[in-house]
Order: sequence, then C-alpha cells, then structure tokens
Amino acid sequence: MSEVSSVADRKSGQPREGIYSSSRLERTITVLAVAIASIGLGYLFFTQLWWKLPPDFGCRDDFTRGGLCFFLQHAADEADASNILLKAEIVRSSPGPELSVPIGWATQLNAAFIENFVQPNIRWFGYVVWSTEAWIFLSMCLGFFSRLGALAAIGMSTQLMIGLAHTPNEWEWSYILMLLLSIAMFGLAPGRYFGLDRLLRPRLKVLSERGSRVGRLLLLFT
Amino acid sequence: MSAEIVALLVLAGGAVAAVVFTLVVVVVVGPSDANPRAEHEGEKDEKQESETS
Repeated sequence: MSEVSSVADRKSGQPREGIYSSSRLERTITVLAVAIASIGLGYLFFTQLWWKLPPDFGCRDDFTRGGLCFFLQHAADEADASNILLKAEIVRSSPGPELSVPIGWATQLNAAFIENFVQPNIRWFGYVVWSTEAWIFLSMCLGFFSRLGALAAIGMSTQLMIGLAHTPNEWEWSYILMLLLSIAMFGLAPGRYFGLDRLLRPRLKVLSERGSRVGRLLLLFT
Repeated sequence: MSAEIVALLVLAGGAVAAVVFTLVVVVVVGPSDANPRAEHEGEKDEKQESETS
C-alpha cells in the first residue's frame, strides 16, 4: 500500500514526506536536534572524566576506597539491593510496583564481573574505563566514527544502569534515559548529520567498493 | 605536570588526531571519487527521486 502511494506521489510530482523531509527547514531542525543530542551525550561523559583521572582514578588507600573504586565497590555491594527496574506503581495503595523488569541475574553477573575481574585489575582497567569515556566524548562531539562511539556509550550506560540504577537514593530513569539516548545515537549515527563522518563516509564507501576490508570495517563505524 | 593537564592534552590530542585522520582520508581518496554532499541520506534520497522523475 505504502509502495503504491509512494509511486503515485512520484508520478504526480508531489514531494514524498518520510523520515527525510524535502524541506530545508525540516532538515535543519533534524540536524540541529541530532547535533544537540549527540554533543549533549558527549558532554555528559566529558563531565565524568574529571573525578576519576588516571593514574589513581580518584582511588585512595591502595585502590580500595574513593573515586572509581568507591563506585565499583558500591555496585558490587548493592547487587542485592533491589532486583527490579522500570518500576510502575499504577495502583498507589498496592504494596510494591505492579509493573517491573527483573534484573537480579544481571546485577549478580555484574557484581561477579566487578569482584573477579575489574577490581583485581583496576590499575590498568581504570585506563580502559577512562579511555572509553574519553572516546565517547570525542566521538559524539566531533561526529567521528559516531556509530562506534554510540556503541561504546551503550556499553557504558548498560553497565552503569545494571550496577547503579536500582541502588538506594538513585533515580533509575537517569541511567535508563542515558541508555535510551545512546541507543538513539547508535541508530542515527549522528556524525552523518553534522560531524567528520559526513566527510569520511563517502570516501570510505569508495574504498569499500574498491574491495578494501579496512574501508568496509571503518564504514561500519560511521 | 598535573593529571588534569595531562588529561586535557590527551583529549586535545585525540581531537586533533581525529581531524587529521579525516583530512588524510579526504586527501588520499580525493574529492573526485566521492561526493560528500550526496552523503546526507536525505539529500541522497531527494537526488535519486529527482533523477527518476
């Protein structure tokens, strides 16, 4: 049906309205909105770089307290705090939320990962955490390999959501919204709208068509 | 040098490296091989449409 109407639109010379508008104003609004969202997500990660600076990542007492070490321990300690997310209390008199998603298995897995891998290797894994967040900032703000940057943002946001969203005194939606924004950026690949990817992509496409594997791989990241 | 200065230098270096990498790709592949204006999927879509009509 939609194909039929699309063909009819083309025949009648009517501009086709879809996700790509023919109006310059509409396109400008789209580009501006995507750029603001992308730079905003990048800036979010930028603000979180400074309390966990290398080489100690804000940790004290031989990497046991403070800074990044505090939040890792907090996520491991609070793995049992609550085992649900996306709570909706529809009937206020009812004890507990009526709608929710069980995440107990994920918080337990996350705690095991932190205790058995991250904490023993924090001296070098801290660099991985910091570099990943720095990469997300650069990628989202410059629109440089932005799909790869958004994928990293999805990974970081998912870990933070599983580790911290259900803990006391946290608003779970701050973490969920961060993940949703990262997913939206992954789908949109914001660099195609405003960033360096806009320059890179057509060239990488050419390299990919010439049979370059590197070109094909890099094209996937834009 | 303080950790903050080092971090700022790393971020600035990363930004410069990204721009330089892009410029190198642009120069190496060449403007005649690719048309960046057609890259915006919306613009590309419209171009194709005008060609069909």
